[in-house]
Parts: sequence; structure tokens; C-alpha cells
Amino acid sequence: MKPEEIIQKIEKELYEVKINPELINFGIVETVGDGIIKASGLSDVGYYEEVKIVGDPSVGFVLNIDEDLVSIVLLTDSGKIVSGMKVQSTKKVLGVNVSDRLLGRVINAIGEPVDGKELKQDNAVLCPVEKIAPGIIERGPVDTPLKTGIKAIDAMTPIGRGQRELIIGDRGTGKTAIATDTMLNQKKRDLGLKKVICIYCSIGQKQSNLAALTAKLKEQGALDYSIIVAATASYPASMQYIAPFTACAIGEYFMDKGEDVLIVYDDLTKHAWAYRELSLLIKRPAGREAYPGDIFYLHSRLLERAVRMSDEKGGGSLTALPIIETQANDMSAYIPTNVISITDGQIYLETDLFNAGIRPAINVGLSVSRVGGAAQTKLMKQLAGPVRLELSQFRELQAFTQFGSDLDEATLKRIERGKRLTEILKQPQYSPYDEVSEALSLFAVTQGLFDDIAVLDIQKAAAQMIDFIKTSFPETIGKLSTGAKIDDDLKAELIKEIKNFKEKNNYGSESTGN
Amino acid sequence: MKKAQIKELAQSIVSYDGITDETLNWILSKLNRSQLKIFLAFLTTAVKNKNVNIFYAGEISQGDKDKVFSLFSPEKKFVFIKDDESVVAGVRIEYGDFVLDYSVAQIVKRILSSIRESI
Repeated sequence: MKPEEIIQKIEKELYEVKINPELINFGIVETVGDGIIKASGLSDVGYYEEVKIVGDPSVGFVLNIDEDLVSIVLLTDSGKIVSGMKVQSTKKVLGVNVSDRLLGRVINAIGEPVDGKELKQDNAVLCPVEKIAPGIIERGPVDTPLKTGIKAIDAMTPIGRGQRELIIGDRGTGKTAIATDTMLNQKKRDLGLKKVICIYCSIGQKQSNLAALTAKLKEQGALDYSIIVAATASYPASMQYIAPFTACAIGEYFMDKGEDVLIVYDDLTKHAWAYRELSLLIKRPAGREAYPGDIFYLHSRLLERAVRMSDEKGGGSLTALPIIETQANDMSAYIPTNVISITDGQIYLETDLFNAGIRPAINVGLSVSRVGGAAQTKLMKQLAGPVRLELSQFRELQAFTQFGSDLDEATLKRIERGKRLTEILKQPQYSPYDEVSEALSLFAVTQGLFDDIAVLDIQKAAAQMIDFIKTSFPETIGKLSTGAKIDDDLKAELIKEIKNFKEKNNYGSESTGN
Repeated sequence: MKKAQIKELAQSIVSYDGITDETLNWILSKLNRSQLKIFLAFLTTAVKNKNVNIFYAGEISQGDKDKVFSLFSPEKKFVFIKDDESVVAGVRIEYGDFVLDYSVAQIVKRILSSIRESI
């Protein structure tokens, strides 16, 4: 800043200063420990109000107001707070400063940068972390797809903009991988849809994992439209508790401007643990599994803020992908059942499938999207319909594969088709597909065009086929890109092109070798 | 003695503006250690709520004192304290949990923090 600018700013402040009395409500620290201050006084303080310690840089907020004492949770703790110090109310509800400058940055739960660079926000808006979710009238229908780029999800459990879709599974089953791929896929602007701003909220995770994720987003050019809110395992429970609400407040800022936003909460199990820790420290009554009585409300009020706004209110949306970690595949535990009942569907990942090489390890039978086809293009709806049915039939018949020689031809064919469908739904990490590629893969398998290709060659064949058709038949790609249904003419065209591909690349019965 | 009773006792002592030695000894004999702590806390709060401390710099005229008296109910006990250093000019009034700051020191502090934020 130039000296003239500094002088101008000082002069402006001096002329604009309001000479009126300040009424401050203060209290006295009675006890301090474990990141909690109990203060007497503060008779005019409100719930969730930010307070500061006089003569100390620590910041906290009010979480409990009792008859004689106020419990303050410290967000930053200098370690020098002692009994007898003064605590001053700020008359501000806990909030975070938000502006477009946050894009591409890594911040903590109170909006401070943690990526080693300065953060100067001009025209920042102070957004309260707690906010009432939009009402019914303000909401619009969830009818626009949020493409994850993962075939299994986009086909069978499609996600719409404004939906809450839970990703649930044991540790190491690929939950964060699905969220990451979804964020990476937003770079494509598939189907010509509005861009999506992504917010990744890390709660209680390892810092090394977050660093790796940030590096991957940066490498793929996805960090430019993303914001990372970090409350990793080394952060105090108060920061881990506030972080998802901070991320939501940031998302709402962009949503109110008419943008589409995706928030990933990774993960809400650790968020529940942090809230349990705080509640026990402030001596709230413990309920089931020592969680406080309002643990359901903690997640319901957070996830209800995911919304698709009506066109009158800007048409923006906030899509939530909460993640829950189960123990030993137990979906019926307390926190998982709570969040399942709140969200609009779940993607259930299984360790057995992961270990069997089916990645993403999505259990198609237990996964559901309550929005369903409303969030799919007509093209995907047409192609995805048979996939779910055939997979469920395959699962039922799998038990009989040991009797391979005793099954009738139709059953064997169904089993073979199921194997190829399972194979086509596998996908490497960091390789999201656009809608046309997904459609081509599913079309080829569901039409039986890959029935004569060995299961182990399906992935390779599909990749080559997609490249071939994209290069050689751009008009077909153009027709598919509209998202419209495949009519008879287009179907015939596609079958011919895929057979052409098989002939040229020596696949199946069309290969010149056969 | 119950907590509510201890609270009432503390408040009545402050409203009557003092107790005799006899009454004090009676209280000390009736309360155990933890109850005594509670009694002390309530007594401190009651005294804080009753007293209005006015910190001023330089001189304060009777007219200004009357203005201060008019802000509060007549039962309050007013204490005027000269504090040139932290007030600089104007007055700072402390009552209960509140501080009503009319001082120049407060204005200067506000200007400084505003400048710091904008720069």
C-alpha cells in the first residue's frame, strides 16, 4: 500500500468515526480448562454470540447460558487465559467473512487462511455460521443433474443440484474418492450446465490426506473453483464442530448470488464426536452412546440448508454430499441411521466389494437416490433403466454360478451380461466420465454388443470404443450431447458404429480373426 | 441452606446496605465451605448490581452528576472515581455487567482498531 493511500484511509476513518457511547456487556472468567471458559456476568449475552477475552487474542462463542454462569467455547486459545480475566461480548453472532477471494484457498473454520498466503478480502460479507434453512415457498424443484462423472452413480443413483446424498461406508472404501472425483468432474461443465463451485470441508481428517487432496485438485485445475475448509484432527473440537457450518455459510453466499454449489462434509461422524466432546465438557446431559440429546438436530439443521432455490430467489443451489464412516458395515448404528433419515438417498460402499476389485465399491442394491430420474437427462434415464434391473437379476443368480454347466442358456446369458455390467461400472480414480462417454459405455453393454468380448477386456474395449466414436463420428457425439433420448435411427447408427469399431480392433465376433 | 435461599440472603444484605457482626457470625455458622463460596459469589454480584461506579477525568460538575443520576433508579449507590489515565476525558460508567463508555479513550481505541482493520 502506498503512503498516500494509507493517509487517505486514516483520514476517512477519522472523519467517519461515530462519537457515541459504547455499551459493553462483560463478565469475569471463573474457570478455564479443556477449551471451555465458565464466566459469571454476561447477563445480556446471546446464544452463539462471539465473545473476546480482554487483553488476550483468544476468541470464543457462547454455547451454554445457565442461571449464574455462561459456558464459552474457545475457538482460538492463547493458553494465557486465567481466572479473573474480563470477557467482553461483541454483539456479533459467530460468523465468517466471505467473498470471491476465498476461491482457490484453504481456510480454517473461522475463515483464516492456512495455506501460507495472505487473504485480503475486499467487500467481504459477514455470514453467520448458523442460519435458518430456506422455507418451502422459496424452494424450487431438484431437476438439474449434478454429474459426478462416476458411471455407477450417474446411472443408478443420480444426484440433482440441491439434493443431499449421503456417502456411507467403512474406512478405506473410497468415500472421499467419490467426493474428489465429483469435484474434479465439475471442470468439464458437462451438458453445458452452469458451473459448480465446490467446497470441501475436512472434519477430523489427517492433514496429510487433506494436503494430498489439495495437491490433486490443484494439479487437475479444480482448485480454481474450490474452497477448502480445514478442521483436521489436530484442530480443537470447537473448530471441528463449527467447520461444517462455516462451509455451509460460504456456500450460501455463492448460492444467494445464483450460483450452484457443491459441499462435501468429510466426515460427519467425526463432527458428531466433536459435538459430543463439547457437550460433555459443558456438562450437558448425555444420551445414547453419550451423545447429547440434540445430536439429530445438529445434522438435520446443517443438511436442511442444502436447497435448490426457486427462480424468483435467484435459482442457485446448494448440493450436500455428507460422508459417514461406519464400523464393520453397520448401517444401523446411531449416527448413520440419523443421517440416512435426513438425506435424500445414500451411496453405500462395501469393503468386500472394494477388496474384490469392484471400485467404486458401490452396493447397488442398498444405494438409492430419492430424487432419481428427475435429476437425469432423458438419455441417461433410458440407458440406466435396464442396468439396475439386470444387475439385480445378476445378483440373485450369482449364487448359482457354481452350477455353471447345469444352467439354461438364458440364465447363463444373464450371468454373463451381469459380469460385463459389473465390469463396465468399474472406474479408476481421478478419471471422471462425461455424459456421452457414460452413455456409450452403458449402451454398448446393455445392447449386448460386448457380450462376445472377454470380461477382462471390457474396460480396455470401452475406452477404445469411446475414443474411436468421438474421433470418427462427431455427428453422433453431437446428437448424444443434447441429452435427448436415443431414437431408433440413432440406435441403429450407434450399433453400426460400435460393430465397426469391433471389426477394426479385433474384438468379439466382428473381429477379422473369427 | 438451599441455593435460592443463599441468593435471597445475599441480595437482602446488599439492599439493607450492611449487616451487624452478630448477623455475620450467625451466617458463617450456618453455611458450610461450599455454601459460603456460593454466598460470596452472590454477594459480589449483588454489590456489583447495586453500585454504579463512575470513572471520570479532570473535574465533574454537579450538573453532569445529575445527568448520571437520572440514568438510574434512586436505590443505586453511586461511587465517583477519578481516573485521568484510562479515561482521558469524558466518563465511563460501570454498573452490574455493563460498561457505558462515554470516554475519549474509548473513541481513540475504536478509531485505531478501525484503521488497523481497513489497512
